[in-house]
Amino acid sequence: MRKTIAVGVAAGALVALAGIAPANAATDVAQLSVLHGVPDLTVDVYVNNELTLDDFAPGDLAGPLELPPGTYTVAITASDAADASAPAIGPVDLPLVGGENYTAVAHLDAAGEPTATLFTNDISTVGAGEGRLTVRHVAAAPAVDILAGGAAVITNLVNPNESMLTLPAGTVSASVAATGTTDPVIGPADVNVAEGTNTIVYAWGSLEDSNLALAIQTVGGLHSNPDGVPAGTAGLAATNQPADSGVWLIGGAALALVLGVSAAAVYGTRRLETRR
Amino acid sequence: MVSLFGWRTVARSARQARQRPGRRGGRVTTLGPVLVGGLLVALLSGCGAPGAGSAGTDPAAGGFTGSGGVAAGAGARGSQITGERVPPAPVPSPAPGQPAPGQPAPTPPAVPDVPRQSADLAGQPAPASPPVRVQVESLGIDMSIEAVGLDGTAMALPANPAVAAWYRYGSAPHSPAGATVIAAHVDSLVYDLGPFARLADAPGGTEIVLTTADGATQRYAITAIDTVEKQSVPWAGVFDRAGQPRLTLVTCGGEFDYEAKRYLSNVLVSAVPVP
Repeated sequence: MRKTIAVGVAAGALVALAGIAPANAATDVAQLSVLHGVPDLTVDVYVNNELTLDDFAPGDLAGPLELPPGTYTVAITASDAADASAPAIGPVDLPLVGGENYTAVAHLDAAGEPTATLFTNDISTVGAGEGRLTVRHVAAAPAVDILAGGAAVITNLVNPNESMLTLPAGTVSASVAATGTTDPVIGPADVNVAEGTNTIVYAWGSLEDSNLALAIQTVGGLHSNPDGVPAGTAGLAATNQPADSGVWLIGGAALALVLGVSAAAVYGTRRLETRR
Repeated sequence: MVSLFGWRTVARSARQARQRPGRRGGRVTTLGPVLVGGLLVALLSGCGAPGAGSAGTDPAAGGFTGSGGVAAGAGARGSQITGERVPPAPVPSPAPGQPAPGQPAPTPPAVPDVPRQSADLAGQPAPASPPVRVQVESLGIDMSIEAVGLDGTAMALPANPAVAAWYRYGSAPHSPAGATVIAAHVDSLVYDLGPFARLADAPGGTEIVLTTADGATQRYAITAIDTVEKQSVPWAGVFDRAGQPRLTLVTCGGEFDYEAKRYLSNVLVSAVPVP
């Protein structure tokens, strides 16, 4: 049996419980994911002129890649291109800072032209029990509202912007409607806003081509922890149970008895005196 | 912006994003004519990179030594490139302590194989099945488990010490990583002493069995039992969601403060999966 108590605690507890690297220990690298949000176009992705994603399909998410900080040049070509010399999108320079988390999205702009946007994903800690919901408009569509349970919680979101909410963890029934309206163009769909996670929802595709859809990316490890487990109220398992607690009770009772007798005696004496 | 249901809303415009380019939502500066510039960036930052070996597929990338054509072609763009690569032009200012993104220094290495998945909403992985029963046969413990969250800032627990609680925001027995945390009151004035009171004296190697809602079981063996004063408990370690899958049982123990009606320590039982 191994049991550490009181002073000896620290060592055992630290070994068993605290010798754990933080989830985001590698703060010197940048994390990069790539989302393909251009409908009907399978592509190749070149990073610094090197073919990195071959035959990357719409709706797919690649990564995260851990990259040294620096500026990376990304070119997106048709999937049958021989090299990056004739990109369909870009080339674009992605300046990546160590410790940050990014998603590069190939998508349509509001007018339906292919483009690319680099988003920085919010990886700041959320409170215990909470999750973060990020909504990004990367679709060929006008401004939209995001509805949860039929009510607008994000309004007038335009391509290529984003909006964030911090919510109690749980499932949200979300839909997307043209701004100022409640008639969904996407959804409603159940989105799990997981605790301690940035759940990123992309509205992508084209309104005109009737292929609007939602894509999901999750970035975890943002949680806070409970600060205690209060797990007892009676002291029945205490190591300092007063062995003399019974004595106290008996002694207390005896004392009360003595006091009572005394009081009665005094009272009785006084009555006797009064009678006289 | 609007705040419905008490939700905090943060909306950002593209203008704001540009003002704070290093933060969220920074728009990629799509520079159509910068193909040559991009190549030059690759050239500069690719110095000595393993990636330079790809010269065969890209004439520019290999043009380190004698690529006069590229250099000449890029000359016209030189100032523009320089402008892009020095703040406050479109390239964001580096965070303090970070090298400027445009400095030739950190050489991007060859990009490794990239994991891919569908981002489709319907294709998201289901959460791991929650634990519903904990048994320690040698100690006569057989308790049902409720999934709990928080009571204020502490882990919530059922009032009955004969019912255990699983911290539902943390890992589950079949999660790929992290500690499954199951706690129960050691006692109660209403319910008397609870089964977890027997954990404090359990021998090392004691077997614990968890059953999950899907009917699967997972066995664990106790590796350590620590009684830790409450203010010293490393909660981030107890509730860690990374690292090897493991089980931590938590209850109270040690000395009792008879005035505050609380124990001064937590009993933390560490256990690792066994076949």
